[in-house]
Amino acid sequence: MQRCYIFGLGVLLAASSALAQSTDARFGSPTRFTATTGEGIYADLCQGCHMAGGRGATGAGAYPALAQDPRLASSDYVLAMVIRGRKDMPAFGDFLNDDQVAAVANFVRSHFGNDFPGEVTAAGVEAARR
Amino acid sequence: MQADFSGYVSELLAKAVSQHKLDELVTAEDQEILLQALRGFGALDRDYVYRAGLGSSNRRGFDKEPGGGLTAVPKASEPLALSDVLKSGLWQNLLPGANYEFQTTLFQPVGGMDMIARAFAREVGDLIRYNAKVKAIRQDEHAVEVVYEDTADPGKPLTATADWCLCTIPLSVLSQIDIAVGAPMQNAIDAVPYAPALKVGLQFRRRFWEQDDGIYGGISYTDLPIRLIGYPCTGYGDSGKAVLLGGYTIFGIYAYEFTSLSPAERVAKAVADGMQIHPQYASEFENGIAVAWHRNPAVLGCSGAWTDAARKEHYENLCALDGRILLAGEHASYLPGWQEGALLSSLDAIGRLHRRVLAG
Repeated sequence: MQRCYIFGLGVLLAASSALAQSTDARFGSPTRFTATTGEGIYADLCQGCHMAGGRGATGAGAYPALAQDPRLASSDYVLAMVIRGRKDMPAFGDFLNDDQVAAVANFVRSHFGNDFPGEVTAAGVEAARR
Repeated sequence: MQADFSGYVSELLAKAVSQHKLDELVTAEDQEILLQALRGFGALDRDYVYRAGLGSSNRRGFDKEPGGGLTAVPKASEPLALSDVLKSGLWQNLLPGANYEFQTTLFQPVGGMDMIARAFAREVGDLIRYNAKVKAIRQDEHAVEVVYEDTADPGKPLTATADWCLCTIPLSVLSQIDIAVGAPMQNAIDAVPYAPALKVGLQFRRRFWEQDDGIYGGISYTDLPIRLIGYPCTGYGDSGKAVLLGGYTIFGIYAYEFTSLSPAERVAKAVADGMQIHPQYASEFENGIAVAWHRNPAVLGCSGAWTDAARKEHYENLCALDGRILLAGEHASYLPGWQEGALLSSLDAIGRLHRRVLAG
């Protein structure tokens, strides 16, 4: 009984410090994501499916790996996916503002072994929404 | 909350009636009835006002409850201010229990909801082939052929053929499988993203909610990210360990954000949130598990997230018989996420298939 209690609290404390190390913006609002950096948005939202490091996952179906993904060369493609979604991936255009979409698009295109040129701007996102 | 919300709404409506603001909408005779109904419904006093008194306390609770003997006289409590009631947003949580789906008596299979699926599996027996990952579904005018692999021995394509195929693979997965159907059905399959969902089970050393707080079954609602705490409605009065539903969020931002945490972080967050409601978490929590449906490798999400527009454009195409193939599942129903939707979609599909077969 006592051992169980200590183990439980130990897990709780360890996980709490891990929680502190991830983004502070998580759970900031029930109606929109409040992270402002690409890294933060990726950590709060994208990695739920695309996993840490953009490594993707495979089960009965697959979440594509974003790591070293040649398709990300096209920023139009990235914006379309984030704003409008496709198949299983939901549309996130209503939950992220133009700055956030640009931030996360730039993040995935410049991390996880990707290094694609051309910065996406908030104006570019606004145009992509139309 | 319920008493104060109903009380104030009743008072305001009674005022509108008495001030003849609704004469064009409600007949004089009905206005009399309405006023009486509002007085009872809202626990209004003889002036049709909702205020502190034994009547309103009988709905919302007392500062001192009625008792016996010389300490029996009750003391009325003061209602919250209307503005506070409205601004709290807590009235939103009066709504779920009123929904049609929750109005019938709900039973729970002993051992959990998947006992239903297990019972079907027991009845159907050897007809089920497990660990078969579907790679392609083909058809011609004579037969359907499914290409699959054994997940225990992957890389070697196997085939199964039959006259007809009722496919219940979730659309989240089916949209990644080559399936030989026409554009209308394929577009429908591709049109439905899947909603996120998160549930957390937390084990405690004792039923502190019963022993300390007098809570037996039911749900506490909160605007904290866990959204609710669900109390077990079985085993009342047990003295041993018990499990709470320590968080349940479906759709929306928090569900995605929980999904992106590690399993241990999700449990920690559920404990941190729940502790704000039940301080006993600190001393009674033992361990927990969290399930985020987008991390379930068989489903890749919780349920099909249809919109009205998507249903209008695609739903009938999704459910139609395409050659020798048709689909069923919660995604092919108007009860998304419910086992009932899946079962009814199957019955409907099989009924149509049967008529088609009889027609030759």
